[in-house]
Amino acid sequence: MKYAQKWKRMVDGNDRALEDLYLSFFDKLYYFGFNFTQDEQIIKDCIQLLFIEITCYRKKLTEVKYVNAYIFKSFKRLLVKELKKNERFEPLEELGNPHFGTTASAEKEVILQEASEELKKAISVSIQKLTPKQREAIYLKFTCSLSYLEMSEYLGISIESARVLIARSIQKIRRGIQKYTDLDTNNLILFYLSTFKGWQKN
Amino acid sequence: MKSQDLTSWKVEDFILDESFQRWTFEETPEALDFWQKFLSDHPTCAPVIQEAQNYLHALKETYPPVSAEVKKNIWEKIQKQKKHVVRLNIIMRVAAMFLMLLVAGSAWFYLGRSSNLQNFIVKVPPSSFTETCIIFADGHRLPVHGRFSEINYRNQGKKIIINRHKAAKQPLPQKRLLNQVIVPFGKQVRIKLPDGTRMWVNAGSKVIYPVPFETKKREIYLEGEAYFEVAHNPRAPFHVRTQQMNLRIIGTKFDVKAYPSDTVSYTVLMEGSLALKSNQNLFAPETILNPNQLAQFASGSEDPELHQVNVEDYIDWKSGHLTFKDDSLEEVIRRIERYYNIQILIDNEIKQLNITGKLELTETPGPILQGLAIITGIEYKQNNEAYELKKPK
Repeated sequence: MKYAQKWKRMVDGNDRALEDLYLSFFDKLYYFGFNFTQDEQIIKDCIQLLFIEITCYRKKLTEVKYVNAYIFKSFKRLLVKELKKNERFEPLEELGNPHFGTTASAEKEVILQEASEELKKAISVSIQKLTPKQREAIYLKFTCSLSYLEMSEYLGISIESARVLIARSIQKIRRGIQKYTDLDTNNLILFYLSTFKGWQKN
Repeated sequence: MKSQDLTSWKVEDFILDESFQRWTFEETPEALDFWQKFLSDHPTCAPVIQEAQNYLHALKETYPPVSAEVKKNIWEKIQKQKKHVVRLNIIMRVAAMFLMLLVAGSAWFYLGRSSNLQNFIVKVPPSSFTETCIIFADGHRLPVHGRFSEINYRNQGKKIIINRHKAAKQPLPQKRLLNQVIVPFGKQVRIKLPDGTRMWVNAGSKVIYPVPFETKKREIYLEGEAYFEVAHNPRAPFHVRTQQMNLRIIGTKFDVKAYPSDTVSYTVLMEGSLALKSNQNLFAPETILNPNQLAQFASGSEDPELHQVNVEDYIDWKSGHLTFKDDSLEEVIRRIERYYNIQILIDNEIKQLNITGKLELTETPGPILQGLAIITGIEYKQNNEAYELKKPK
């Protein structure tokens, strides 16, 4: 409920609070958008549209309880609408299938923090095997720091289901990584064996 | 007691716990206190906790922040559009009738549109330029040399021919962008637009127009004086906007004079038909002008004054001379002042002298004033930038 107070002040007409919210969410929405399209202009346009919408209807937005969920949900709605209009999406079914966690684009240069590069690589490979919905959930949970409550609001499911969705995704990722590292170790052993054989022949 | 259960937790359990997530991402101090205490009480859990934290850091994607300039840019756009929508909301509340809503809506649209052209105005007066100049939407400037120069748009405006021999390209040909032409005093330019419309722009003026025009509407913003010969296209009506007037051109040849420094602005129609109205009142009725008529707006007035005139007197400037017919010396001097952007001191006693004839427009005002002095028998003095006409002693 990090943004609840700012939201309330914004609804009451405080422009400073509105600007704070805009700055807090800009980067998150911007990079979130790249999971749906590579068209930077559309992403920027939708951030603009979203905040115009919020400003114009601010008095009617007192009902919004979960700011994080509301902003991401509204942004996605605008983005999907805009993408449909521009027909940048070929089949419509694709709309629900964002490309979360796919190879990083130039704009999406990932900075590695404390986690080891190895684990990060393993996870990004493993994430590919998740369903689009699972990938979106993982992104919202860990990159955008939505709570289970906010996720349930965003996805229109119960808190328990949101938690289960993340739990299943984590399990799947962990299983994938196990295989990945096992494979690595096997390769290593094979490599040793072959060098050993070669050395023996001489 | 809670920490007892925690010792049996697996990596997954920690990853999924929101309090643990907050601690890992350093979001709240409460989580920090709790987990640090737990860790020091149960050091055997450290490897599991370390692995869970590694996972969380690897799952969180981090990015370089978007540049502040981009954010500021979009924020400004939000502010601008917000005002329009808010203004519309107020009008909506006041207007009870559906019809009024429609009118207000279109008024907002209309205001918004014409102000787009005006927003683009580079806040420099033509007098600060020494050479005619095209300014593109990206700020790039293209000088157009010569006292009587020519700009010719080709290939939908993608290519620009200057003075019939020099070619330039539109900087961003794939977009419809505004071009601004600034004409300093003592210079003129003839422009042929992509749609075939011709425009003679007089000294000390600026014109702004999109290149190419929109398909359903052709719109030009003018400060100063220009003579137009509009290419016929019934599907794309032609509009000229000035600070004071809006003109809807049905056809075809007309002159508009609207210098911001003047108290009156006017338009004269040579051929075709033209509808005009004041900018002061959006709901003002349109006035239809017939050939050989002049419509003049005094500043702030909503109704034009109509006069029957000899149109040649109003467009002589474009052929390089000024024509006068029973005009006072005061009026003659005013037109010379305007053309060269100079101030001429003139004795009160000779202001009402009657002048008829043609004055060739020269590069500098000296020869014209000299000639004028000889014909009328008055005294002419020039001291650097100061010009003076006196009654002979």
